[in-house]
Amino acid sequence: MAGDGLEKFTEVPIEFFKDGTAFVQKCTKPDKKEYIKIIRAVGVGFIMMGLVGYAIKLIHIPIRYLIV
Amino acid sequence: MSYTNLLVRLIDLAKPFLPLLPEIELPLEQLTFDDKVMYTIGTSFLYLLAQLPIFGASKTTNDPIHWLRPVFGAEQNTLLEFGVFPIISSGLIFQILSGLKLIKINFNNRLDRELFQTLQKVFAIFQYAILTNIFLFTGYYGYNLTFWQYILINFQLIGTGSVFVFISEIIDKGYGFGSGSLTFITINISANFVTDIIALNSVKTTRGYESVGALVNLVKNLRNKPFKNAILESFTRSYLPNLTQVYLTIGIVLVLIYLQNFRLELPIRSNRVRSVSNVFPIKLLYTGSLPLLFSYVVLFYINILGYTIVNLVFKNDSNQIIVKILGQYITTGFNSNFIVEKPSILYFFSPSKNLFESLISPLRTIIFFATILITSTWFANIWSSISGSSPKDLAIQFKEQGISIAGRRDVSISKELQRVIPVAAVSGAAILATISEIGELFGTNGKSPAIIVAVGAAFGFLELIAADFQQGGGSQNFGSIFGQ
Repeated sequence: MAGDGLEKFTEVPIEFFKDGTAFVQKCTKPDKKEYIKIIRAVGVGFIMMGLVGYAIKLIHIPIRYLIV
Repeated sequence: MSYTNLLVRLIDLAKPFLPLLPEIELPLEQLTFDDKVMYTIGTSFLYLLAQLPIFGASKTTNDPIHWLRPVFGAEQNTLLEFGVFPIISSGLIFQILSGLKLIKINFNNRLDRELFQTLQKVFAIFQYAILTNIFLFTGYYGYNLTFWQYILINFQLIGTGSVFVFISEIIDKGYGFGSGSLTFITINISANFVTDIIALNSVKTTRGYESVGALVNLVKNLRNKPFKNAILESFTRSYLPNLTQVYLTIGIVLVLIYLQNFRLELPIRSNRVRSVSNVFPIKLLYTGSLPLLFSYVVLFYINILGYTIVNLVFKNDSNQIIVKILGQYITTGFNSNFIVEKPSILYFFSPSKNLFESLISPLRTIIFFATILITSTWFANIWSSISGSSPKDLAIQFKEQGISIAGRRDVSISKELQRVIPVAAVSGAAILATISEIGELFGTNGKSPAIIVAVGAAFGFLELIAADFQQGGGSQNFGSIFGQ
């Protein structure tokens, strides 16, 4: 029964897709205030880390010329 | 069964290394919030400082893993040539093996636990050694190296790798927040993100000197070139960071932050105190960005295996039939990336360089996406049932705290969680894989999965920090920064 096998093969992902979309629809979504608060926290943290990291990378540029 | 017996003994392999490898002791008492912040910042600075150039290599070209680097915090031609890939892959592989009961470990037994940890470390260091020598013998660091050059490069790369195996263990063991290797990846990606936008230094290209930073480049172009050309070039240059990539990255971050707060709120009530009800959130991104990281571990293995066979065994000779099947590596112009350009096995397991390429070879795009999607979802499904927050563990926790899901009997708590959590984990992983692939369609060369991994890890830290902060009180120095 090749048809059966194929059906089973496509059944699992389709079933899953249905479950997944149902789950997403049931989810509580963040409201605007919450969203902006998190963007601020993550953004500030990310950019602060990045700037310090970039500063350290700047130190590496002259070292690179010295070693290589 | 002999098969399982063989694997049972796998942890005993680590026995001879037990006295050789130091083990980080667990902190004697709970560290203060400030101490943890200091440990985390200190170790991540070490990681950035270790990006020194390799001494003794005679050639600096032919990078076959350039699109895998961002995800693992690896920097080309530095001591961190392979980033934390060996540490991450070793950790994930052994956790999966033990979670699937392929290695039997009694986590209540101290010796078993130590052996398991030592095995992970040994395998990580072993991978650093293997990767270093693959790169050495395929001519990545130049052909005809002297004996001392081999020794020197081996010493540098394996030495740095080993040091970071231990440093990441420090963070893992509770001196910092969460996972050490994820901390390193996050700091490296955020540094690269800022570098891509505002880096002031310029690099010589075929069109003269160009600034590395995308924004700096735009300003420079606007001043020197006709308006239309300036804008177009800033968005489309392919060899250095361009504005398309920057906007894509920012877009991905915004979408991720939005998705991060998707949650299914299970109504729960306490059995002890009547009329006290609350909600227990099940996040959509239940396993965070780990599934995507796992997908890239798989892709890394596929590509490094192919690279080794093609370049080490068959010397990248296009007359060999195996090379034709796996794919011949070709050096590209400016960045000296080593890529496969003709349809072949390795070609399908690597991302496209730009949007144009993704559109003219849809089969590659589909296969690449399918690989990520399947590995991610498989991992998410497994991980959601073996990690510390699996449905079973949660049900036990619920029971201990006398919590039950409203409208359900005690017995069905585990069943209810079992029904919800894997769906959340797998849907979350599938969504992340899709977002990552949308970025890769535009040719972000590994930067979109990298930013997803970084932001996912950053959320993890944020949660841990928030929890720690609430426990430790708000009077401490660093604590006041996070206080709203």
